[in-house]
Formats: sequence, structure tokens, C-alpha cells
Amino acid sequence: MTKKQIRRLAFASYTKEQLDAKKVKRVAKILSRQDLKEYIKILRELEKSKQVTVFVPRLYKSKEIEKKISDSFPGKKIIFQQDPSLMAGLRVENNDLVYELSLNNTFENLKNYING
Amino acid sequence: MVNSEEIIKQLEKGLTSFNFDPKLQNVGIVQSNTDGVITASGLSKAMMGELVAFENGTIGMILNLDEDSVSIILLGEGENIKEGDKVKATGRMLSINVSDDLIGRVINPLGEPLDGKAKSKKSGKEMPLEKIAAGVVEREPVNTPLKTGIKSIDAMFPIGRGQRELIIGDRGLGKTAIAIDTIINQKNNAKNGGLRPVTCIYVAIGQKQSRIAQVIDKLKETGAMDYTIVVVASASDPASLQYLAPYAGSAIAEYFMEKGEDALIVYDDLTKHAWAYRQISLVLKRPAGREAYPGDIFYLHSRLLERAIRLSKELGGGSITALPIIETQGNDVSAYIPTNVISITDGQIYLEGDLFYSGIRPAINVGTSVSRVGGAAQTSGMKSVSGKMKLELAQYREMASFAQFGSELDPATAAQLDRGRRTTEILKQPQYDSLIEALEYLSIWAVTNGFIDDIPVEEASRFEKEYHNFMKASYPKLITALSKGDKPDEELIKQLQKATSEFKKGFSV
Repeated sequence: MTKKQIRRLAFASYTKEQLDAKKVKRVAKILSRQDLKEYIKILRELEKSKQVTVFVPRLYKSKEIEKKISDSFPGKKIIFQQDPSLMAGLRVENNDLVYELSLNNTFENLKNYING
Repeated sequence: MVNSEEIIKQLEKGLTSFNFDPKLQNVGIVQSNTDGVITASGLSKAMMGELVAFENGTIGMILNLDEDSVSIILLGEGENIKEGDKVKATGRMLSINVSDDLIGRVINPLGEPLDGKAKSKKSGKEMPLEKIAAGVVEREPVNTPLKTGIKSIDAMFPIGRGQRELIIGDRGLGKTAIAIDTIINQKNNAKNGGLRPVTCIYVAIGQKQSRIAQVIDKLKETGAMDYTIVVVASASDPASLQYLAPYAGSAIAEYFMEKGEDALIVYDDLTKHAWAYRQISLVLKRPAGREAYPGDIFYLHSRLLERAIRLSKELGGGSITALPIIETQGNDVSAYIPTNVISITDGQIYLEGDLFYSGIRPAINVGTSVSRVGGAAQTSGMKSVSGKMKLELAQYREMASFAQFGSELDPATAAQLDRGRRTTEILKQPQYDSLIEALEYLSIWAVTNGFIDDIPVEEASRFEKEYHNFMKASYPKLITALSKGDKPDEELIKQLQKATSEFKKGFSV
């Protein structure tokens, strides 16, 4: 099976934007081990594309921030993760786009800038 | 010594121009690493030719944009890059930092020094490696000679500033020698020719390191490194660097051209460049065409050589002269890459094995070599003697092929053959022995006006050498007059005849 065909199967495994367990089981049965690996990889990518990961230095509940972020990425699931290395600020990962808003990143950029 | 206050001030100055804005980064994940080509998913905003940075600091360049992945060629160490590593788009296209400090240096296509000296700290101009050549409005016709210092080329296939002249032939026939002699001769041009100095760029692509070292040594020995930059992507470098080397050379040449100066660039050689690009294309799984080269192999060289131009006066009047080299196999000029490059360039100097092994060096085949710029790139002085010589040589070649069959020849034909033999002998020239135009003129003038007709063929070279020495010592004013490049008037011709007859009286056979 070609990559394109497997990709099409992965897209077809969704019902109303939700992964359908029945469809997944049916597809998994007909795929070889190699193709199944590719199928899982594509499913992971698709799942990742439906969510936005927000890295923060400390995990705390702030409805205001949560609302602001979910308004910026409508229709996406927001996941918060702790990353103390950020020091302050946050990093938002939306698929292959990364919004760097952390103090650590500013310091890194400054270091690179001074070092030329 | 810089005091601490100054250091802090410099830091503060740097900080004021530092951009604190948050950055939006486009990232990807490495999927595979095969033969120096990385396939990565993500990077949806990346552009063709954009630079990307891996976690270990290695830089790569995007060469393929597919539906859900990109292919990246590595421009450095790639052994540590593994599946799952992150790769960031930089938003920059490949460029090289060029300043006058590069002159005399040996660098790689990324601008890193290879000569053991420190990298220049002078911030120069960032020149993009890939650039669309200037349009027709920005150009001017080629009308100034470059002068190679090689009699046969300057007389019969003159090269003008802004021209692209191909040097083609089998291996070991002296292709590089012609290019190196031309570089060395630029010193004479600036001193005696009254022409603007030329900055030379020698681009070594896929060559053995020992050979490159020899060339650099020769350039140093002759003082040519004072105005030359060497760009090296040797046979041991990755194909990606070999592919980029001529573009880096071209970007450097453009820096000097944009300053209104003249530059000469030697691509040694484009056959190996085509091989490197074929390797990259095959690894990138691009469809293979004739001789397994990809479909855009013509564009690879045409876009490179189109950058050799002469800019209009309004844009500074600078120029880039290109001497691409192509190595043929078994004298086959009809192979894929040679025919491509022949059709792109403004002429070719074809070197032939038979001539080389029969002692005619440079082994230029006068019949198949051509300069499509022609007389426009010659001084009127040289033009006045070279036309006659070209005609006589063409007649000689024709006669010589017929004369093989007949034993009895009429006196006129025999004289023509004799003249042809002497002309061929006079056009021989050892390597690294470039001549100023006045001496080239004297040799050609003497042979076309019959002053060597009574000298045995085997003595012609000695005659020429002693004649040059005599003229330099006894008639320096004549040499100065001829160096101007003007067509000699009757008075000057009379003086030349007198001086030549005087020399002949003292020349013993």
C-alpha cells in the first residue's frame, strides 16, 4: 500500500472529527505490520494537529489565560505542560509552528546576537 | 588595549539594536537521513532553498518540497542527526559574506577559511548564492579585451570582459593551465596593458586536494594570489558543497562587479559539478533523464553562466568574465554536458590530444575553437595582424591535408605550407610564460610579414625569444607604442621593419 493510500485511510478513520474506534479496528486488520506503523504515525500526526500544547514554567489555573489561548486557536484542544527551563513566559506549539514567548528564548537570542 | 568602559558601551550599543520581539518558529521532525539527504516532516512554511538548522548546529538547505515532507541537503556533519530530531527553519536563503579581505584567501563555498588563517572580522556584504542574472537593460555589449597572455587565444579567439568562454578537452591537455595562465597574466594587464585590474576567482570543484594545492602554490609563487580568491569544494567534500561552489564563486564575483570592478571567474570544472548535482538529484529521487542527469541539468549551468555579464555604465560598468572548464571523454564534444555548455557560452577553446602529443602546446584546435564575441574584444592593433594570420592558417590546414597525397607542389603552395608551419611553431607557448600584447603583436607581425620565412622551423622558437629580448632592450619605445593597442601607423611599421631587419642580421642560425 502506498503512503498516499494509508493517509487516505487515516483521514477516513474519523467520524465527526473524532477518531472512530470501529473504523480504526477495521483498518488495522487489513494492514500489514509495515503499513500499520505508517498508519499509526499518520494518526498521531493528525491528533497532534488537532491540539495546541502550551509550555509554562509553573502549572497554575488561570481561566483568563486559558480563554485567551483557546480563542486564538478555535476548535483545537489546549494542553498545558510544565517546562521550568522557560523561566518566565510561555511557549506555544501548534503543529509545526512554535511561538516562543519565554524569557529563556530571549536570553538565548541575546547570547547568539552578542556572539555574532 | 580596549578599556572596559568601551566594551560595555559596545554591548549597550548592540542591545539597542537587538530585537526583543517573540519569534515564530517553523519546526520539523527528522524522518530519515540517507546519504547526506534528510527527510523531515513539518516545516510547512519553509521555502525552496531556505536554510534550516538542526539541533546539533548543522546547517542544511531545502531542495525538495513535498506534500507532507521536505528534503534537505546537509552542508556539514550529518552523522549525529537521527530520526525524531528537531529542525528549525531560519527564514534565510544561502548567502556568503564578501569583503575585499577575501582577496588572497582560500575558502569553502560557505565562506569558511581553509588556509589556516582566521576568518576576517570585517563585516562585508551578504551576497546571495542563487540570484537571477541581470536583465538585458542592465547589460552592455562586450567590448574590452581581457587578454590571456597566450598568443593563439588573444589573436584568434579573443576573450572580452563579460564574456563566457568555455575551455574544453580531454584530461591532461592543459585546460587548467590556460585558465591559470590567464589569471597570472592579469598582473601584466594592470601594469602594462593600461587596462583596469581584474580580481580573479578560481573555483575548484570535485578536484583532488593535491592538485588544488599545486594550483594555489603556483598562484602564490607568481604573485597572483594578491588579486585572487580560491573557492574549494574538493573531491572529499560532500556533493552538496561541490554543487554550491560555483554559485559561491559567482556571488563573490558579483560583489566586485557591483562595485564597478572587473572580475574573472574560472569554474574548474563543470563536468564534476554536473556529477555532484546528478548525485544529489538521484538521492532526492528526482526523475533521471539522459545519462541519469536530472531534467534541470541545463538550467543548472545556464543560470550560473548567465551571471557572467558586463554591466551598463549607469550601473558602474563592472563585469564578470567566466572561463568554465569541461572535461570530455575520448574527444567526444557531442556528449550531454559538453553540448549543453557549448550552447550556453560565447565560444569555446577546444584542446586536442593529437596536437598536444605532437608538441603543439597550448593544444588548441584552431578549426573547432571559436569566440563569438570576436574582434569586439580585441585592440585595433591586434585585430590588424590577427585577421591575416587566421586566414593563412585556415589555408595552411586545407593545403596540408591535400599535400599529404601529392609529391610535386607548385612554389606558391610550398611557400604557403612553409609559412603555415612557421606560424604554427610561433603560436607554441610554454606554460606560465604569458606575454604582454606588444610582444604578442611582434611575433604575429613578424611571421605574417614573412620575416621568419627564411628561418628553419626548428629555430623559430629561439628566433622569437631572442627577437623579443632584442626589441625590449634596443627599442623600448616601440614596445611602449605597441602596448597602447592602437593600430600601428605607417611610420611605426617602417620602424618595426627596420628594427626587425637589424635583429635578423645579428641572428645566427
